[in-house]
Amino acid sequence: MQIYLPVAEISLNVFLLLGIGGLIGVLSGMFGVGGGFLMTPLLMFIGVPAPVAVGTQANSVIATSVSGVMAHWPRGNVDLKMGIVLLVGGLIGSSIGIVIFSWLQTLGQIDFVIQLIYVATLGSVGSLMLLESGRAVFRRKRKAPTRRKLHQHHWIHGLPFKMRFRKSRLYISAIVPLLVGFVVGILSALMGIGGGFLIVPAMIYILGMPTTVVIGTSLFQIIFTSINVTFLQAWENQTVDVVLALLLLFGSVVGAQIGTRVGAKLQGDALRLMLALLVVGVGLKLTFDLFTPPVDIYELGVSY
Amino acid sequence: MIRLLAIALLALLASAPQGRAQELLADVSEHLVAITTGFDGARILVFGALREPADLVVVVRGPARKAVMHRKGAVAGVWVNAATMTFPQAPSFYAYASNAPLDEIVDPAEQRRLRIGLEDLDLQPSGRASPNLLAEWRDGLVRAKERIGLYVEQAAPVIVLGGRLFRSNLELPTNVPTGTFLIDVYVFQDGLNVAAQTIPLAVSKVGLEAFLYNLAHQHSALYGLAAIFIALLVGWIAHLLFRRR
Repeated sequence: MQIYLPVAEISLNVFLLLGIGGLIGVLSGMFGVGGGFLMTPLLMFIGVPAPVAVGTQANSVIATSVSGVMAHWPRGNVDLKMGIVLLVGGLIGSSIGIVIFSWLQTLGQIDFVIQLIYVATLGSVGSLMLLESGRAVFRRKRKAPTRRKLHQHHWIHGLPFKMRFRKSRLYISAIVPLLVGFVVGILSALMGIGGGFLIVPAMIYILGMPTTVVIGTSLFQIIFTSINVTFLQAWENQTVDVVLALLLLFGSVVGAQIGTRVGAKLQGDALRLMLALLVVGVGLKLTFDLFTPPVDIYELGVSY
Repeated sequence: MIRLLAIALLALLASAPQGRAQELLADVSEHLVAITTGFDGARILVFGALREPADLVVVVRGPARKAVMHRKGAVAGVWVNAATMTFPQAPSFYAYASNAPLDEIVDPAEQRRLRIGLEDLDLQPSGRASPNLLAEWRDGLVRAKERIGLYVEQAAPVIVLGGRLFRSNLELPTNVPTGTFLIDVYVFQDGLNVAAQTIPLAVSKVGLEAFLYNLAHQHSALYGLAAIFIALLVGWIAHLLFRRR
């Protein structure tokens, strides 16, 4: 069954779109990532113009994150205070990111820069997570868990403006989450995604938050960053296709419920390992694309 | 279909001016291609009659649009956009059909003059380049448009019945641009163009598709807010539905 998408200006299969939404929803529920880093390439692969893919996936991520947060909320898995601090940093970062985006556009190499950022972030974040979570899973299998300290102490804990984050069981400087939100905000504005796959590892490894709280809190943060992206894309570039977004939404809200349930049954280490494998996989694919000779060296640019 | 065609032809012939008989009469099955929610491409029947047996070429041209081309080049093994060329008035769609291969029925000079075939498209770049480089850019643009099905060489045969009646089925893909298309029917005798007729064809979004497209482009902020609101609502409803279970 084909449906014509008014803004993307192409006709696609309804069930294919529902399926992609469902797949992204499962990932979102399991790992607390919006799934933009996967949905954008998937949509482009099935023929959606790149700018529409970026703008529209942000719109569908809003719904997934809302239902995700509401599922996590009663379980006490959302650290509201941490979420708000991250968000403040994130909004400042993404506003600066959009300025950088326009500046790169005038230089004429925006596509290449975006591709490079994708490869660099997916590659580095993915391999770091892979190393850590692989080690953790392996260690758990070999011997009974030894009692570890809640988190390591290093120079980060000497910074001023300390704040207590009760749900995350942390007492750290507010500068750290603010900075994390800021950097992720810049990168996610450039990549046109919610930034979940960046903020989840940052929360675990830099802030030292427990995995259970990380998912709900990152989804909370993603609601607002994707609202910001959706509005800016719709307003400035007219690249949000509501028909496409709705189809993806229906698939992904169902998928998210399944994902949340599956995620609750799995160990945190195993979850992180799976997310790491996925991130590394997408990163490798994009790296491979960078070096693959094009079908034709002459290509039609997107005229949006 | 055949009967409808015959009736339409009779009507056409009847309405033809008396006195000097026309060389060519042609029309299309529909003058408006409506893009609705279920749009899955369109099939346009071009049909008509000739006064005496001749060769026919049907050309479909989409509205002129800006086309931006990039040339990729490898920098340290990585493929980047090495150069860019803009064609401000490139045809957004181009397809032709004929009753025999073009080189058998059309004189090369006539073909160039009438801009029939992908090699003779009117493609003027905004930037400057040497003639051979320019030819490469144009060929590149044609190939890129062919890959996405918007430039079609020998799209369909023109079927001529009894040397007088003709018809041709032309297909418009799902990614067809919107705007006013021009369908040119050319009659050739001994390779020379003796008659021609131009039929306009409107391709336009209608109903919900048109409403959403216009809203997105004319009231962008409102559209963005509505999209966000819908997403929030769907997320909330989904949560309520699944919590009950």
